Amino acid sequence: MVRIGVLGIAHMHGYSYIRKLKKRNDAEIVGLFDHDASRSTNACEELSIKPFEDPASLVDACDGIIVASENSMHRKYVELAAVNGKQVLCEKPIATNLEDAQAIVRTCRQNGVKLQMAFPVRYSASVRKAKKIIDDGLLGKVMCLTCTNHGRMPGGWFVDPVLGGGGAVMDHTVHVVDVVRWLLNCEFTEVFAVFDTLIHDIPVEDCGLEMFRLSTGQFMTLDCSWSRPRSHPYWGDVTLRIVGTLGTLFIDVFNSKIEVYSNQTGTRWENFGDDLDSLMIEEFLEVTCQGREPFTSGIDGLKSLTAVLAAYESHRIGGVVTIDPDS
Amino acid sequence: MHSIAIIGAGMMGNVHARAYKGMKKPVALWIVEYIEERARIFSERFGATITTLEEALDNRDIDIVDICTPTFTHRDLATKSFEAGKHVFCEKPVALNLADARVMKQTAEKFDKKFMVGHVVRFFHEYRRVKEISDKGDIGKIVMARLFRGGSFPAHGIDNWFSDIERSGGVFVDLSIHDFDFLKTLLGPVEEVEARSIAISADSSRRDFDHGMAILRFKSGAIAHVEGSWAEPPKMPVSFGTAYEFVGTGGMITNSYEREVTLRLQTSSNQGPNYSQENPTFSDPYAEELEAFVRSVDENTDVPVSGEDALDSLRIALAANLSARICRPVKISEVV
Repeated sequence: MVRIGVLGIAHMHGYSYIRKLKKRNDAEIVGLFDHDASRSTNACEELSIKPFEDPASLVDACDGIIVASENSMHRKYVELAAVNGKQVLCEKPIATNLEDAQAIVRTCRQNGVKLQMAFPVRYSASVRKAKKIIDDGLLGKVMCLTCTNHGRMPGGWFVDPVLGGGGAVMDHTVHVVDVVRWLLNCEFTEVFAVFDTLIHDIPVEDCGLEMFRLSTGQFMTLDCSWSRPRSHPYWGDVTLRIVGTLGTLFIDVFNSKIEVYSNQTGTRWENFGDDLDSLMIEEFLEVTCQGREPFTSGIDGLKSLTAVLAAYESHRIGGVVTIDPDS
Repeated sequence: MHSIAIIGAGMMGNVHARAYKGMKKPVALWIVEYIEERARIFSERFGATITTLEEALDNRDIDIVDICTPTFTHRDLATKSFEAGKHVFCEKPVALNLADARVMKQTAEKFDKKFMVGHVVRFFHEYRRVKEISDKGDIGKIVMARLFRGGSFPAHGIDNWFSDIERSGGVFVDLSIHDFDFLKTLLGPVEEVEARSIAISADSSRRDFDHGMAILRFKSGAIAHVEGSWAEPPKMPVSFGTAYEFVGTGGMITNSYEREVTLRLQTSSNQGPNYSQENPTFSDPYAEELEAFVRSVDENTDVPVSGEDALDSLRIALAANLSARICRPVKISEVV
């Protein structure tokens, strides 16, 4: 029985991870710590788990720790777990600045902790199959990619420039960057980004378009906008259109959907495909038990964040920014 | 550990073996297959021991027989297995006529063995969701449904048995029975069926029809349109698909293979153009179905799809066949 604790539940994905863990018979949820007492109480009641007032005592009682706090607090909690030698699953993005991200990776490495990043998209059967299609050369040489990671505007701390570290660009750039780094075995080398607050009255950007250059030569665009209206029947999407010399591949990761029109509850799409969070949690339990390298690592978290930070820099100077390959 | 004899190393035998091998609890597999080459490949692929039907039935280690053979062989294989003290999982359709299905069900009862029939659509997530949403009442009471299931003709059948209505039962009995069965779980018993079918193949050796359409009236008052098809040309890039809409008094649920695609590939090479669309998953409804069966054996509980269920679903399909033949609506009670 693997003992898992949760540090921070500000991110709604934390609820999903806990629910997946509760369905398993090989893991036990020891409890939750959140610095916001009312948030802690609400989550513990809803999920029937034990609240902790002291994060250190929770860490002590666990084999593995899930960090789902506000982005800016990831460092504090990951480091607390790492110095106590506990494996960590960290919500994305890894941090809101380079210094924190590097410190997270360093502390985990120094303490022999295999940091896993919560990049569930890479666990999709379609993305895995896409990797094989590309590696088998069915597309010929990959020439360019156009990608989206749309969502609804999440509100709350996500739109707080300090706690969230930014808006849509910070929230929705890293998933696709991570997937493409893995698919093409490349790094992101340059970015030009345009973004603005165009839809909502919030202090951070809600619409963004990015033009990346990859170390393998391709250009790639990414639409990272919180542009799905509240009335949209699904939370958003992750899509990749990959153009090669021999053909094209279109991936719509969350398109396993049925459409439900309810006069009572409105219109919604329901995903009937594999539960990617479950697959990711399964990996986390294996990593925790075996101490092996996770499929989505802290380095992947750091590398994807450098692309995000370069996008913000591009916006600031209004030009193309080179992404530091050594960070 | 269960020891399972799969009969038939054809398409479904392979699907079942893969599902058994993926289960958390290991099982020992045997294969009964009269074509030696197929048996050998199957044995190598899944680590199954090659045996004969007689040996398998005599083998006291083997507790489960899984019938994956053409429909016209189901009755004899099932009854012999029950008589030998085995639990039986049988692929759909259960049999070609109600008399055979009744014999199978009664023999299972007589020897007190588990008997489940492979109406796997009940385990497909896009259909299971419909049942869950319906049970919650989120779209009110479902009053109307429209289902499509079809693609290219199943040319993989040994000795081309699908092409012979005397051996396969035709497109209603072999294919649309999935939808008849699912509709029954959703809307209850059927009252009346009005169906037509057509043969588009010019192949005179085919004694079957390729495309069927059926209008169902349920006892509850609900109505449904079911379309089953083997009419797509062979070697098409998209060889199979399903679609549905369920209309309730308070809403609607829809789904189609045309739009649920998560991976679409178009390539061109020396071999020519190539198109594929799919929705790959790690979960396997066949594995969930067979796990549910094994669980029923382990815990001595009712199987999720009983012989009685399968018999009722077959009855709807036979009513559709009859209606298509005589070109008038057929009451379910006329099919005995």
